[in-house]
Amino acid sequence: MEILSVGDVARVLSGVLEAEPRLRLVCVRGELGSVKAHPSGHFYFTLKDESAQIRGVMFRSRFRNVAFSPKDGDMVLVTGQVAFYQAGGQVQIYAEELEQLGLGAQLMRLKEIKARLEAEGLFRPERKRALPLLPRKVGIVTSSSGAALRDILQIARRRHPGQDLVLAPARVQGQGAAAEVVRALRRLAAHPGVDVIIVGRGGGSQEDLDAFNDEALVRAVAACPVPVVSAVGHETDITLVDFAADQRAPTPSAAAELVVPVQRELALRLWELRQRLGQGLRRSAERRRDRLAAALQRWPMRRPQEILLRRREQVQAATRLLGHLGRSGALRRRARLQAAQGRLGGLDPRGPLRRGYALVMRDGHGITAAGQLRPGDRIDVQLADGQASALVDRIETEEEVR
Amino acid sequence: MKFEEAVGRLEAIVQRLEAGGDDLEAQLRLFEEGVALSRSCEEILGAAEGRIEELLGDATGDVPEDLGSEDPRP
Repeated sequence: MEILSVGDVARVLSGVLEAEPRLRLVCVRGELGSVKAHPSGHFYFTLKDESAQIRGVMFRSRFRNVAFSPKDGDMVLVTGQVAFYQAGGQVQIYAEELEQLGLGAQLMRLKEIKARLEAEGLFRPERKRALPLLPRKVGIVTSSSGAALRDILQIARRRHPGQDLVLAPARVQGQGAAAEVVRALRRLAAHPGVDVIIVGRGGGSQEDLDAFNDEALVRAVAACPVPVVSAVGHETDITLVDFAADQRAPTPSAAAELVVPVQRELALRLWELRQRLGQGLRRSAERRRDRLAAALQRWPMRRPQEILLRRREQVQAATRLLGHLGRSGALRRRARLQAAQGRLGGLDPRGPLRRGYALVMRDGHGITAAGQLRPGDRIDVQLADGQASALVDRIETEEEVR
Repeated sequence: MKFEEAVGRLEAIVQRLEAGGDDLEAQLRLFEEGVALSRSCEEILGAAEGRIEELLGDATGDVPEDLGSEDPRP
């Protein structure tokens, strides 16, 4: 068998591919990933579906004509030629045209999970808990070798050199990363003294951040008994974990700033409170003293004899007023009214009847003297509640009685 | 007591003393409580030693990862 050089194999491979008419002009539908716009102006990408992926490149001269800015997850239609890139040892598609087809399958899946968890209420604002002012220990879930950890440690040290930290390392990308993050989160939540947890990683491609869109991890963050601050990637990267976290930090550094207080500021606040505490009591004492002094300054304390004097004046004034009222018409008018009312009461003919007297009448005329009557006269005797008819039997005048 | 509970109570006491509605005896009691609270706050703030613990559970550390450290953005 002939011994070939690597270049020989590459050339054969190139020839085979070039000879295949179906690869000379292809139109491929797939999802973009690992996109990279090189400073040279060339555009590199991976095209994939559920079963396979292929590398691709679009040179500057062609990429200039692409109307949209392609990014990870975009569903696209690529037109071009498939060829073997000998120097790179890769079969790749040399794109001539790139068209956007709408949301990629992965983004669709993400949207579906998000809608479902949202409907469950996992992202509701009232679920968000406040972060502690001064955490006893800050839990950190990230890769022990990543830039995120370095950033967090640096910021934490600068803000509060005494801040205790607990790191639960976890792989933050690749197969099984989400499950590792979930386990790390649970270990931290169970660790005594951990009052808040930062979970995150540095920036990366959309695929790199995928672990933070994992449904089980999102649920674990929402269910975590300790407040969680998410810090995934850069400002513009948003993952589902960000929605479930109690607070989202744009970067790991920002998370450290949210979570770790500046020690000097707390110390200053305490100092201020102590000052105000002393001043508060002092001012109260001063106020009491001032009130006492003011009270002593008022006349009753300085000239107690005046109290008596003033009382006497009051009595005199009242007496004077009374006398004036008596002289004035008011009192007299009142007395006259009362007298008139009394007389009116006496004029009521039924008044005496109620007291037991009777009214004697003959033929409708009142009889006021015994001499007006003769024996045999028929008279009416009017009483308070009725009347009686009577026959006069005998007349006696006062003179006769006497 | 947690730091923020202590600071919260201390702030409430200071505000109450500053408002000055209580009688002398109550104010003295508040003052003493405030002093004790500010002491325990100081203690909590000074007690942290800046330790870093590591909770190992998964086999990690031996897999080098690109975690965006090449990215020039902070």
